[in-house]
Amino acid sequence: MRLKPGIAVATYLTMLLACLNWQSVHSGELSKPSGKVLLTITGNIENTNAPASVELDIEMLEQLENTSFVTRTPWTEGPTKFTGVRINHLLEFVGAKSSHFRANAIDKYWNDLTDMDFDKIPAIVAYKINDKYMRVRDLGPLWLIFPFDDFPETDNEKHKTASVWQLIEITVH
Amino acid sequence: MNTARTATLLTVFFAFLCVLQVSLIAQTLDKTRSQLSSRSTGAINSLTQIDRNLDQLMDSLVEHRLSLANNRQSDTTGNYQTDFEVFWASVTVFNLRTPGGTERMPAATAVLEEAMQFLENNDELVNSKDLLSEADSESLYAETKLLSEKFHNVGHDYFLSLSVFSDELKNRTKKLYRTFLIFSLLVVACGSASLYSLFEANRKSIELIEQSKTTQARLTQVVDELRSGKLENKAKDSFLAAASHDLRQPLHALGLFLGALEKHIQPTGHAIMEKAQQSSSALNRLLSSLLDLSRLDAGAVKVSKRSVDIGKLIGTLEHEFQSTARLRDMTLKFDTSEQLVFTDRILIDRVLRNLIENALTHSRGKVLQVICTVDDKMLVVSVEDDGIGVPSSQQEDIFSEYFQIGNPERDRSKGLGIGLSIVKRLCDLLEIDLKFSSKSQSGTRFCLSIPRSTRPPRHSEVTVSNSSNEGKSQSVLIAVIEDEKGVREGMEVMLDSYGYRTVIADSADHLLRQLKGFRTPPDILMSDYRLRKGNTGDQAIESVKKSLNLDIPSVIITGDTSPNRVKELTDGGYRLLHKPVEPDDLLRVIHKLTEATPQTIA
Repeated sequence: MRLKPGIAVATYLTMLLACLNWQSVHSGELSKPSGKVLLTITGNIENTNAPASVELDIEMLEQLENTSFVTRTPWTEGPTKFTGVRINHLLEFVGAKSSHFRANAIDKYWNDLTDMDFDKIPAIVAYKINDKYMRVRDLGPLWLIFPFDDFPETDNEKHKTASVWQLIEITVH
Repeated sequence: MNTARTATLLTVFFAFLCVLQVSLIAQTLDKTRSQLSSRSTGAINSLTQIDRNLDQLMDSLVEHRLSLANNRQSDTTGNYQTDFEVFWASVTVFNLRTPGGTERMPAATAVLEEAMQFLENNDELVNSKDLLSEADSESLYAETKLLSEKFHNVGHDYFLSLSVFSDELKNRTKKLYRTFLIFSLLVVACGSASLYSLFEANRKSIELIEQSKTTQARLTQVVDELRSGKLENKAKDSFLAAASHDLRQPLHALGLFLGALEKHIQPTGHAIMEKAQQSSSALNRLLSSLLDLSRLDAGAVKVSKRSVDIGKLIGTLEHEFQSTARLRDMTLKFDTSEQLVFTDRILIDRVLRNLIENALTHSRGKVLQVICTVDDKMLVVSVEDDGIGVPSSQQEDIFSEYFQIGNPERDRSKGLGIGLSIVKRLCDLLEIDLKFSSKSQSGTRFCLSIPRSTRPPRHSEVTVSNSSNEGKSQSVLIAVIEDEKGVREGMEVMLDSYGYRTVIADSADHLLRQLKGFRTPPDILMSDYRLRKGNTGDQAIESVKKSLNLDIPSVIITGDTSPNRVKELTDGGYRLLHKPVEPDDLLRVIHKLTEATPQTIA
């Protein structure tokens, strides 16, 4: 019986994929992004999908459990709805060994977020504002934002300077 | 009252100052707050950000042009697009974050409008799929540079205005601090002043309360005295004391003369002599009972409680009153079984004596009983008769002075009517509960509740024997100072008749002159209280004692029964005898004094 080369290749690829998949489960290898990379997470993390980092596109972000809240901010007009991924979910997803990290923005702004209880405060990396994706000129595409209205203890300069818009990279300490 | 008003005024002033200062501070703070919020650090940060973003955009445009010139594609080729977007975002944020600030700086508003114009005009060009041509990028660069300079100028102006504001803020803080300091000092000063006046007012009101309390107490006392007739009685007492003094003098002499006369009387005159002596004694008793009342009122009666066998005492009384009872056709039934009580022996004797005398004199009954009943810790001694009793309408009055039932004709042989009031006062003094019950025509009962005692009585009560020791009295020298001739002679006769040696004088000097004729000093000094030339007995005795340099037992005889005088002399340590002195009393005192002092004066 002659084996068709197409089937053989398909079988091989399937086995290889299965193997890779198995490997990813056990060595913290995450799936790779297919679209434009919006966020890169580096530093003290266990899981990766790129050299020493996790790269995320909008599809991957939207696959993660989303959280949304409405709040007023000094940079928006009136109550605004933000939708995105909770910081603690994101850190868990990349297997971060610490909850202290630096958030970097496209415009070179950065802020170190330390001593913040993300289990209590549902701060998010927002990808939608009022249910619409953000352009860079709208302070997007990603915006680290706190629920200032629901958690009055975050309504201060410390949390406002930590609200990094045009978020592009997170470095876990 | 003045301080209270001051306190109120100060407090009001203090409150007014507080409100004024707080409102001033609040005003200043509010102004500063609004100014601070419109000039936040966020605005200046946004401006810096814009400036930087513009520089970034210019750099990207230069890089783009270079790559076009070199005709090669690089990673950074499309960077100007991102930088254009980032610039857009920062302009939007600045627009939102400086609503108040732009109003004050028209330049900023203008440049922001210009920037928005620039962004919208070039949006299509920058974000087209085709990359910028060299010419476009050059013109865009020029435009960007112009905008950058304008933003730079706005930033400079903003910085300058901020520095002016900073100075203003510093000045205001300084002023605020000074105001606060002065205010604090005022608060402390006013607070302590009002606190002081509050304390002062409080102190004064406490004083006032105390004063009013004292006044009230005094008023109550006066009202009580008025209501109980004590004031009236006081006046009566002092009148009696004064009046009895004049009565005493001759009575005293009469007693002494009668005593001296007794030895010389013929047997046939004995009956009359006895009558005369009885009258004299009755007079004495009347005056003595008046005196007792005075003494009680003066508080001159000292209570010394000890264990007393009241049965024995009642027995003595039964014996004494037997003859009187027989005269009045009354039978005595006295309970003389041994009963120990804790009280003053002499005073309880006086109480029982008065009650028994009262029953014998006034009850007109057939039987008089004294019964002792044990009631727990008390012994109830009741004195009971079956006589006329006391009508219920008069029961309240029986303890008042000078009150007598059935004696409207004031028969003085029945006493003055002060026996029961003495009983009442003695019972109060001894803290004995005195109860009285009576029914008209069926008798009267007095009950005394006396605390019982368990300790046996001391048998130290010395009974003075009336039989005088002739041999002993012979050696006793008695010096008498008496200014009234009749009394002086009476004393001399009486004392001589009992075998005493006497020195009689009318003054201290006279006595001292007379004493030179004796080898020994007198054993007893006796003096009348009121002497001639306003001298008093105690002064005379003191001067004699001083001249002889000896402490000689002294007796003062006085007709003055005023409570104050009695107390004064008793306190001075003198033995006091009241006129008229019965010869027996005088002898008893002399005996006591000669026994108490051993004959060391030889």
